[in-house]
Amino acid sequence: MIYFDNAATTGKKPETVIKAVVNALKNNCANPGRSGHKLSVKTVDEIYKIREKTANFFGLENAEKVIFTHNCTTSINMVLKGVLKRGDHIIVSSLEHNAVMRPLEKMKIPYSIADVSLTDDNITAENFKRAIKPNTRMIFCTAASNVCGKILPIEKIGEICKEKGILFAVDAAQGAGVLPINMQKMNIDYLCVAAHKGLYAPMSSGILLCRKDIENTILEGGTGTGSLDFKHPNIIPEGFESGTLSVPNIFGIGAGIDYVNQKGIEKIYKSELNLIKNIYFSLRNNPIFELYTPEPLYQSYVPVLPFNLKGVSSEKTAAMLDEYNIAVRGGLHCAPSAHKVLKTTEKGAVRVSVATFNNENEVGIFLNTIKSEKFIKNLIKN
Amino acid sequence: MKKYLIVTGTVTYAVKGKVILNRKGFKAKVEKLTEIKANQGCGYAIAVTGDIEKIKELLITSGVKIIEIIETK
Repeated sequence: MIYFDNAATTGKKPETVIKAVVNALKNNCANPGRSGHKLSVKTVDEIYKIREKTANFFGLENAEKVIFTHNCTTSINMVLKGVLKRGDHIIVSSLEHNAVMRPLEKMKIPYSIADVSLTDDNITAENFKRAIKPNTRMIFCTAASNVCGKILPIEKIGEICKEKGILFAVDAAQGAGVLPINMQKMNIDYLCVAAHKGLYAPMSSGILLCRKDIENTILEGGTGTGSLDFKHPNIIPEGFESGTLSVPNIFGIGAGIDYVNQKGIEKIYKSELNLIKNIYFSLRNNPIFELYTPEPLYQSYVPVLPFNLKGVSSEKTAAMLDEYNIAVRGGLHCAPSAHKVLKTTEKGAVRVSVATFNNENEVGIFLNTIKSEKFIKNLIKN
Repeated sequence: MKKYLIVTGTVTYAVKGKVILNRKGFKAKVEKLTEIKANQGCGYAIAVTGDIEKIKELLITSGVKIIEIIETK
């Protein structure tokens, strides 16, 4: 199978990640921070090393401010529900995922949407600035769209937040592992990460990195701290890691970060973007395809590309590609806001997203398939 | 040389403290307390020998919150 659905989760995990997970199950199968026996303490030590590695990777000063979560959605919910209060206002981008929009709707927190320009980052930054109100407490935006791949000017938005004294939270589900993200340099207060995507960890591996406190928890229970007290602590990280940690997944995160560091984040980004560019230009030259973004320029787009065959629903195209053993994702990608920007709310889009293990040969097979008369005939026939 | 048990709020802070002290040449390890009082956080402590004033300074400046210091034999 050709796996081009890496924006959902990277479809092949490196051998080193698999080995790290197995190692956790074989040699560190103890509950960290609970029992106190040698194996438990050894496991805590290993997890702390991974907290340090994670903090270093994202330019966070303190390793103990790294929280391991179930996924990026959990991390986002923890920030929104843990920090915002009645009376606060928040600004989000026009490309946000439902992981941001749905909690806001439920919380009934008033929000403004800053339009993202697909071509001019200065306009985007200006739109964020213009949306600020006296009670704006936070800007929350994606590092890069999971639908069209547009990279947001995080550093510029971080500067605005610093200047105005506003909290800055970033959803790095698509950015982590392909874009260099430095929380200190970019003035990011909260960074939400889907480690099972660009960091190649197992599914259900999320991270929340904090430079500011979180007042309220969204999940309460055992933390291995102050057990006599029924009041749940809000100390980072334990207060936000209730219940038993997924030690194998955390070991996978550590190995995934090593993998990305060894390959080099810039090298990964460039080679993946080249694959996407090849697909983009090939589809652009054929009038039966619809593209929705400008040319995916370096440092402007992550390796994610939406397209459609004219007059055919995205789900139908994706299902037909699956018949040919090519995995992509059609539909709305849980981000209707972004589809509204692309004007694809009605039929969605076919999303191609690549990772380190994809290559030119696979791109060639994909292009030959989707452009072939047989494929198009089958698609129309069905 | 005297041995101390430095009680921290969480096991992560205990490990952080141990790492900091080890990097500065102190022999430190994380231990589970055998008797836990209500105020003793996670029940984990940094077991360390050496100049306690210097140790305290290193931990506090690194953001490790000390709940209690117990001197042991």
